Amino acid sequence: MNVPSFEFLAFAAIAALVFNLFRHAGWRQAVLLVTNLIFFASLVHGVVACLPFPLFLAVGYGLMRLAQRTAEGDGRVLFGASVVALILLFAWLKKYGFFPAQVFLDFPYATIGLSYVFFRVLHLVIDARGGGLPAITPLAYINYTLNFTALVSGPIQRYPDYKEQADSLSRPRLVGAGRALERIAVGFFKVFLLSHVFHDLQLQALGALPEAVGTWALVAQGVIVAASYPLFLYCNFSGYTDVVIGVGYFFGLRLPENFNNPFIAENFINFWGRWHMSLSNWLKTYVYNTLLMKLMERFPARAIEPFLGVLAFFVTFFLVGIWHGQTSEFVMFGLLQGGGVAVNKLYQIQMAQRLGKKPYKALCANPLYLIASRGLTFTWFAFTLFWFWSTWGQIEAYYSALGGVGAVLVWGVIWVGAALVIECVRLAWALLLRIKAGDAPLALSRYTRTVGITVIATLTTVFILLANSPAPDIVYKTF
Amino acid sequence: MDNTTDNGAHTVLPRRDLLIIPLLIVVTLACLLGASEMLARYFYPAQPLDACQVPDATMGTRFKAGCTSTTKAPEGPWVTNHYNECGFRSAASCALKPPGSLRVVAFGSSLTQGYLVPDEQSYPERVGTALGAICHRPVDVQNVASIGYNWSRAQLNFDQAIKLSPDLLITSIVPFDLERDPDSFTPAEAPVAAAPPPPLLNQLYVAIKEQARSAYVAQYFYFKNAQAFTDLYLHYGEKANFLRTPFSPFWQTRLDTYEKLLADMARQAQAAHVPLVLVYVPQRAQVALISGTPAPEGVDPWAFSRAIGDIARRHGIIYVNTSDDFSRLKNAADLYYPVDGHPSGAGHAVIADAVVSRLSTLTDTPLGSCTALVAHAALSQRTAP
Repeated sequence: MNVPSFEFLAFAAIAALVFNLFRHAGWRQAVLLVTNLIFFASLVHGVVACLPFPLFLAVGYGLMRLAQRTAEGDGRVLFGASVVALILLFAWLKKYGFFPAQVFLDFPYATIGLSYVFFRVLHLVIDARGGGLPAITPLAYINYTLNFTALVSGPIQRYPDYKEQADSLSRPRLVGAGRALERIAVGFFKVFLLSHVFHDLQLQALGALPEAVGTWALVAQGVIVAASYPLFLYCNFSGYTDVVIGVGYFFGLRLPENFNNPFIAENFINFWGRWHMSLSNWLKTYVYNTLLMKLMERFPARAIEPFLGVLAFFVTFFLVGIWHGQTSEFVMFGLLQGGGVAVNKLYQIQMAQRLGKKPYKALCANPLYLIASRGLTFTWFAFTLFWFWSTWGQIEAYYSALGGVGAVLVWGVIWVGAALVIECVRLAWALLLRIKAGDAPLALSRYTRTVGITVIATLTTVFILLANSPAPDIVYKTF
Repeated sequence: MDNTTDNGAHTVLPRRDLLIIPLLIVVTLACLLGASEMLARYFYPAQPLDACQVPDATMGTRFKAGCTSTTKAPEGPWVTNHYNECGFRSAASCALKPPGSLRVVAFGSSLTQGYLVPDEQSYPERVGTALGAICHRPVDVQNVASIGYNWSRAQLNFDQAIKLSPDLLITSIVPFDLERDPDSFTPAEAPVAAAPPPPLLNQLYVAIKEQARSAYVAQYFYFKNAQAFTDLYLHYGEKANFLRTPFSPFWQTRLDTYEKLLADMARQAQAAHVPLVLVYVPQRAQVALISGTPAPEGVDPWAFSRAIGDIARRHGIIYVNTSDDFSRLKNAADLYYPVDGHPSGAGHAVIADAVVSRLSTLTDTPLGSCTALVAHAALSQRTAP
């Protein structure tokens, strides 16, 4: 069952109806368990293929219980070994290249959603050690880790938040349900229409690039290839997230947001605070903070403290990059993410030292500087994504086709173009919000939104019916 | 204005919104429909009716003599149609052919008439031009075909054609042409008894299907994908069963009736010593199936053309099966108008090439070479009254 799809919506609607029949915790847990298992079974072909998944969950549960038991004792080594064991088990199941090929299971099995389950389980093990985790029954554990709304590609919700929402036994309200349906409609629009269009644009430009004649024709195709992918990925992943957040509402869940207008980020550090937020927040909590504290303990000199932050940033976002895949392209992607964030942090340190904190702050608030920074942030992200969506061979072909001057022009055009487009969109939105109906902006009124969502839903439905080709799959499904 | 305050966790919907919001949805949908219809009409104009076509007591319809009209399918180009002094779609006069020239007379249905393609792009005109180039002689093409087809009109149309002293008779057949009930094989259109009006929903459906340009354009985009079109077409009930073997009684009856009709035409053509060419043109779904779209079990896209070919051979008719030519082309279904179903100008080019190629290979028949054609023309002029 694909998420999102009409099939998934129908499945979720039936499950939500049954789930909300009674406001009884036992009933809801049981319905959720059945729903989660049916959904999981729909993703797996055959009993054998799903076996590694329960194994991983069972090991994770055992390690969590072990961490809970040793929470107050001096079990640091045992805890460390548990975390390493869980990471190794995950890496083994995901067939990371540092294992010899002979040790892998020799039958096909499902790993869909395993990365996101891994983050949830690891969070449980680590927090259990810290003693901050409420008691968790096996049923609650399965429902949390296999939660069908967030199984495939997240978002990663912390257990205490999940438990609080699940225990509240809330029922959908009319206004909330309307909001949730809006999110679902917007999600479908992004996945089935916008991401489809950007995907097709990129494919056409990739096909046209080798045949393009003349510098500007080459540059035009090169720009479309490079700039359409971030837009496609955003629509694809944030559309998926919109749908599951909307569906989650009908099960009493407020899943965390994954995106917050990432393309208006004024620097790369800020970008990662707006893009795939549940992942970057998870890594900041469990990797960045932990690593920085350890480094500061190990190197207590105040003068090097900012540089330790740079190092911690690099490691954290390098991990973000290589988490996406097992090939050398993803190592490069990780280096560029980590490198981008680290250089960004270094630049901030250097500029603050050179100009002084106040003048640097004033510079950062300068509108022209902000516009250029936003364009540069988008450009850098688009550049790094080459190692996300293509192979070394394709990258070589792309730059061979463009040539040196062409490549420089492409990235220059993307920088300037992105800066201008982002600013225009921001200005247009700001102007729109100035049109008021009573005290609030007209664009945000329930009536305006009703009209907007009806238009979006109609366009999406017509597009799905007429497109004659399936929408691109959710990219993060494979991670 | 409390319609803007959805963010609070305990927001209650005002009672008036229970009416306003559904109303807004309905009004928005109506506006969207209206806007899409306007856009469709602007970007996809259409003129499906040929203004030169008028009712006729014998033929059902005919074209006005010396008339010029324009037609256009929403998915096709604007087309100018010229009709000569006899009401035939031809640039040449229908009077006695000039000495030394060859006369090709095409008869049949809208496909032969060149419906929705410019005069010079219709396959009879293209065949005439090609034969002229091969024979180094003027070729006069008289296209007596009409739009719409039924069994009685086919016979009358043939009678018109043979009276023009042709050197070559060409007609075409598309499975669609044979869908009509063979019982309508009467000299004139039988008056249809007034049927009770269909249910309102059916009327609405028909009105949308026939009149709504946005629905047409939506179909156009959907049908452009040959695979999707074919999948849908195969669910078209009896109409799609010409693609399945053994043929259903519906199609077998039509083949039998068509054989009788062809046999009669062949006899008359042979009596007049005029070669008769039958061109089989597959329908779009058939073309998709023979040029790459996988055929489901039980579907044989070649069967119908084989059956027609067998009939033609039994009666000494020169048979041109253009299925072979379409099957060799990539994306051959694109050579048809997806919704209307007629071949485009490019599709007519494939048909014409197939006809000319077939005519030029017939060395063991009187039509084997241009000289045979020329000889026939000379003979017919000597014996003409």
